[in-house]
Amino acid sequence: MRQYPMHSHLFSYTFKLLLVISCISIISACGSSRPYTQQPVKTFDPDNKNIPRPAETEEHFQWETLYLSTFYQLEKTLDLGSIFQAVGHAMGINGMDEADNVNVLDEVPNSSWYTRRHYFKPMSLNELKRGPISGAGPDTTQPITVIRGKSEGVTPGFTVQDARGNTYIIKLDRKESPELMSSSEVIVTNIYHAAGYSVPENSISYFDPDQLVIAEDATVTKGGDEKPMTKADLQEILDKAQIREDGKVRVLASKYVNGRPLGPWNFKGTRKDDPNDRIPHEDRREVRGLRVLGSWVNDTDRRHGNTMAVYVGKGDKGYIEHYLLDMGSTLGTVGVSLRHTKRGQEYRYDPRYMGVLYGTLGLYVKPWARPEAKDRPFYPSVGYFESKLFSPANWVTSYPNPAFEKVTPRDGLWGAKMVMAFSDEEIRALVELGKITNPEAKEYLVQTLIERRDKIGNYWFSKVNPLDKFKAMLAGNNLIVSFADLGVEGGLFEAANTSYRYKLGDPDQWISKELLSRKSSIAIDLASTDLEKLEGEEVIRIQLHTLRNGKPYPDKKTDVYIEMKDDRARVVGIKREG
Amino acid sequence: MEFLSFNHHRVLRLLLWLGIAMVTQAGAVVHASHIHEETFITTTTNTNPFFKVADPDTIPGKAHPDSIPYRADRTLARTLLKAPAAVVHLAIQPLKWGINWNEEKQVISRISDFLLNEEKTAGFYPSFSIGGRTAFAAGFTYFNRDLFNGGHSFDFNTFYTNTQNYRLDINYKVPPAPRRRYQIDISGNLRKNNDQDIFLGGNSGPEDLEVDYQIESYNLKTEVGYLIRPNLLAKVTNGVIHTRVHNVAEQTETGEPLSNFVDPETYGFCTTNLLSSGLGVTLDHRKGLSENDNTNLISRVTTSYDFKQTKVRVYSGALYDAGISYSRSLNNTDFEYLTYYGDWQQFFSVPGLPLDRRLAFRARLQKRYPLGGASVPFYEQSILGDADNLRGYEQDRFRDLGSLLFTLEYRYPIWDTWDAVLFTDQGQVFSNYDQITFNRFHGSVGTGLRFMTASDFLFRVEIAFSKEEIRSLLKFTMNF
Repeated sequence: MRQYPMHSHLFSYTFKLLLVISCISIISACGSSRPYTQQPVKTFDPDNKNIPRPAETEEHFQWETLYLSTFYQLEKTLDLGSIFQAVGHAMGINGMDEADNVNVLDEVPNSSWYTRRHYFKPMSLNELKRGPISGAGPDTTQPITVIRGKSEGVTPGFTVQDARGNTYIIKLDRKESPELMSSSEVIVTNIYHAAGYSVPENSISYFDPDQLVIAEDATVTKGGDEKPMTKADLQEILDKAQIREDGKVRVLASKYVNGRPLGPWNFKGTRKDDPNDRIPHEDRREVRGLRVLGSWVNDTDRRHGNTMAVYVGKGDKGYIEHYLLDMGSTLGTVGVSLRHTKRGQEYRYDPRYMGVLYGTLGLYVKPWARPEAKDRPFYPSVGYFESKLFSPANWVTSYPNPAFEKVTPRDGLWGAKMVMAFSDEEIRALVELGKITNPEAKEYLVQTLIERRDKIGNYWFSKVNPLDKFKAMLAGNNLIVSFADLGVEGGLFEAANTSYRYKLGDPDQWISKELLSRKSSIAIDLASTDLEKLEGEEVIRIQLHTLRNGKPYPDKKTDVYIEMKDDRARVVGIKREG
Repeated sequence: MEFLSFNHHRVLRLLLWLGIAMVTQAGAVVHASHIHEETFITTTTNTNPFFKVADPDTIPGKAHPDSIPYRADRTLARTLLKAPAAVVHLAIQPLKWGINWNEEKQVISRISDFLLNEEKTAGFYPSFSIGGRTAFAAGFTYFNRDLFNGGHSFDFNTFYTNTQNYRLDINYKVPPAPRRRYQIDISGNLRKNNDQDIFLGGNSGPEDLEVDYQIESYNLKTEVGYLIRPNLLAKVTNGVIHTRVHNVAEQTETGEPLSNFVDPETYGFCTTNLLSSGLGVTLDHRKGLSENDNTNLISRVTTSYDFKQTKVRVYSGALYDAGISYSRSLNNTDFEYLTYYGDWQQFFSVPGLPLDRRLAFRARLQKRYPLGGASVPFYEQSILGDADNLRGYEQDRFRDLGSLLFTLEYRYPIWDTWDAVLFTDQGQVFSNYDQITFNRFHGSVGTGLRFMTASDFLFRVEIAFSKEEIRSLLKFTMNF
């Protein structure tokens, strides 16, 4: 009898195991998908059910950075499901690993993570400038009580309580970079707010240091230890800040959020003690799409330590809301200091570039390491923020972010349309919030944001057909379908050079030839359309390609599903080719 | 074996296709879930087959989609396919706990506080060496850059392998800064090695013509320097060396008597006290990228304390070092000789590339002259085969009265404070200059990485290849 080595048995078992796995998978995945709804379209994800208050968590910066930079990268290569999916996608067999919390219109419903704002209902300039501020900001007309100090670390500051009883974290600009941190923090806070994220109420404030009164039980952290705070400690912190000619100090005041902070939320996985948390965070569209917004404002420090889960409610009846914190390492600053040219271009420890440099014997020179990378106007209040080297495709945070690594073209389109929603005028208004005193610096920042915005639009709108905001209506015998070409709306392409090729059918078959529209709307004469072929279906399907100068660009299709029922038409599904 | 190979490929192919099949089988799954006592039915329309993603939009029924939460439950298939990653994830948990514990308790910071003074100008740090005279040695360094509050510098290093193999170094400098006019440098070391090899036969000696010996050595050296110009240093040196060589093998590794090759007494297999005095001059025109002075645009990598005062990333200029010394025995052994040396280091940046892509060239000549019929002990002869020269050969592989060494290195950064290096060493030893010929050069090539802070060299790891050896090194000093 032939004896087979142990290996052959192992392979045999592996084969059987795989067979079982695939059978389970196939059985559990049988059926057909339907990219439209005949129900109301979902606009809200009810993840605000009452839950017992979860435990507080802590940030573990050292482990997170090490893990995400090394072991997590290894784990990804060992996740066979992801590998199969990637191989299948490369072979054109299946799609990408798309976000899980999008509705049939490829949109993110409101939730504890996200609120639809500027893109969906344009905010006025005043609303944009007001941002998350709900009251009047810190009361600087009365004595301000210092309750805690932090004289060390990247951003020295203290915590105060104003006469209204509101608590604020106070951060100070450094003397050598006046206005830098505070302006960045406020501008980006309001951008994120307008885009739909939950952010703290951050504002720039001025007060006289003599207004500060140290609370009896105030403490200060020095050398990792907490000690009673003295006037000397407060002075040590204030000495690092710039005092204006009128004797006042400019500060960034960040109001405590309502609710009980539970520590950071992660960019990967779910929170086990939160039953409302059902979608892995790296598979949430708004978390993935944050990469695109982050690339715009160079938010390279967007890591889990700069997020916060807040328990909103009373007693054990509440739920978790998800905040973004610390926008002070954006635009041209890192903390309170100036940004390195490589931030946003490569990870802080980037084996990719180490390998390239080693392999090319140093003949490859990273563009941001060239002397000319620094050859641009420099303003201390703006720092290093540029648009020439900026690449929306290659932008990265300081350390790998699991959600950002999973961004697909559809996620990118979503993020890009949030970015492109800000007009030049609105960007200018938001930059005004930074109260940058040098007009040249302010204008440089505005122009850089505009240029980066347009780069983002150009890049992501070349990956997915950028048609959105579809509307359908019946007018007599005509079905009118209108939409927004985000490329044209954003001024990236000329409307005169753009046309739209489309065809009509039901979800399963086409009933028209390819037609052309020169406008971002389609009028379909239902009487002359061979609708009987649809055999009673209430849903029709329109497939669109966008043509720039007569050629498809991008060569990606968008399928729109429209329900016609009771003399009404409505859009019930959008399927984008990514 | 063929059968195994066939099966292996088949399984891999099947695995790939089954995996892809699983990925493509994205369809609707209807299942009931209970969340917060709320029953609902979900269907999936998502293309992710590994999560049962409830898309409430497409649910037939009366419940409004806004009342039904999204959920993504991992399927069994997905969980199984993630097993290899999960194993790795599990395996690294102890590391995670350790790092988090350190972060919470500030362990490294506390150790640093314990080992260093508040100003970080003095303290201890651990040190170790791989690939030197012993395969591995570890110890500690005490440094003080502000001794007596007067800017004096003191270093004490230990490297310990076992009771028979160790080394102690001591160094005292006044002042520590290199740009002061008067400089005094006092250094001493003690070393003991019980398993050293001496290769006989000079430049052409075969690899197996070696004998074992044990050595104890005490060395004290003073150097008084005077800066004639900011980059020109003249120095006077004096030193005493006590050396005891013992337990010398009577036969070589090849079984031949040692006396066939050398006279043990005149060769240095005895106890000797040597006195040396010399003069030297160093001209330093090197330009280094040790500081990023454009603080507007570049953030510095900070260093907690000063390891060594070394110029890092030298991109142009040269260093010339030359000297002569006289040495003679203080006891009854017959050693008396002159030594002179010249060292030329030249640095170039590569045209068309940034300054930090640079070539470093070194030429070094050393020669001893026995005086009055006396001789030079073998441990004072010129040696090639070390972490700093002819790196692809065994330690002390070639020795004779003179040595000539050429080194060419291409150094380039691969990260802010990491340099890669490609190098070649070419060298030969000789008794007199007539012996120097092109054909007698021994060569080694290699590559490595150098780790620095913004202003200081930390350590290097290198691998070097020669016709005889492949040698890996970890050193806390630059070769040049």
